[in-house]
Amino acid sequence: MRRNLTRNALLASLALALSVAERWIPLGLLVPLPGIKLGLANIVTMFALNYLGFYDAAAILAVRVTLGSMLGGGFASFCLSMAGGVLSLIVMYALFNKPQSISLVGVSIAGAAAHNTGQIIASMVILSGTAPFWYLPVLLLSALVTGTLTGTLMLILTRRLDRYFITKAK
Amino acid sequence: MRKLLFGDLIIAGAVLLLAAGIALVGANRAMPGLLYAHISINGGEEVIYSLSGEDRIIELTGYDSIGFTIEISGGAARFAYSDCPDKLCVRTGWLDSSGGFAVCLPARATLSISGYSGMDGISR
Repeated sequence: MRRNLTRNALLASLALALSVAERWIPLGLLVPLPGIKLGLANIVTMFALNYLGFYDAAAILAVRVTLGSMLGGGFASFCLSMAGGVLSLIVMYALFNKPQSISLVGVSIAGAAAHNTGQIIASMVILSGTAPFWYLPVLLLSALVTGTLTGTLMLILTRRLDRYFITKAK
Repeated sequence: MRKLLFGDLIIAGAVLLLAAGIALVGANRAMPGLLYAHISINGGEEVIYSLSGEDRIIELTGYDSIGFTIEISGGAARFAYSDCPDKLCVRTGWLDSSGGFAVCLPARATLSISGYSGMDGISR
């Protein structure tokens, strides 16, 4: 029990570090559109889903999002991240149970797209208007790219880690 | 290493289709021929300006008394200034085509463009 707590705390701080670190990547120079990021922290969520299970992944996600918005962002960014994170977690969890037809890349793309959809829904609620909805296509296209990227990283990661983790949740 | 599977392509295709579908509907949601800037604060009624009308600077106050300025000039609109901390709205820059969208979350203000750009895939 205590071991799990320590492990989850470590993973949450790793996710937090990744989400802070990716703010330093000047992605805006490449694609000058707001709201687009790599989503490196999602690797940790996928890792937790893959090796630990839904509840650990959810706990790590909640800690990461809460601390992340305390470190910069504020309440609006907390709502956006949380809505995106929760929707993404649910979608990825649903797809993880179908490993014979969908690889981690597909799971990652779906997770990224769900994250963006959740963010747009949250911003529609905050702004109580439908205007953000029309920005969704831009974010979905970015999800296709960033999801493929993080999914590929995740494939490389699991290939290395499968040697060390005997018990897999899946 | 596991290879890309058929399901991955389905997911990628579905995301692409969804994006294209929403973009198509979004581009056609207003009267053709002209572009309009829609400004809304905290979900309130939209104030609509024609982008082809005269240039103007609109000073507004959003949620939490955060002031911001919308500039309409040369057939485009933008957040020219905002009191918000992150200035993401200003960094979004000029919006000059249908479906263009900028938001200032702290001020709960949205600026979106509707209408036809007057160009399509063929005439561009």
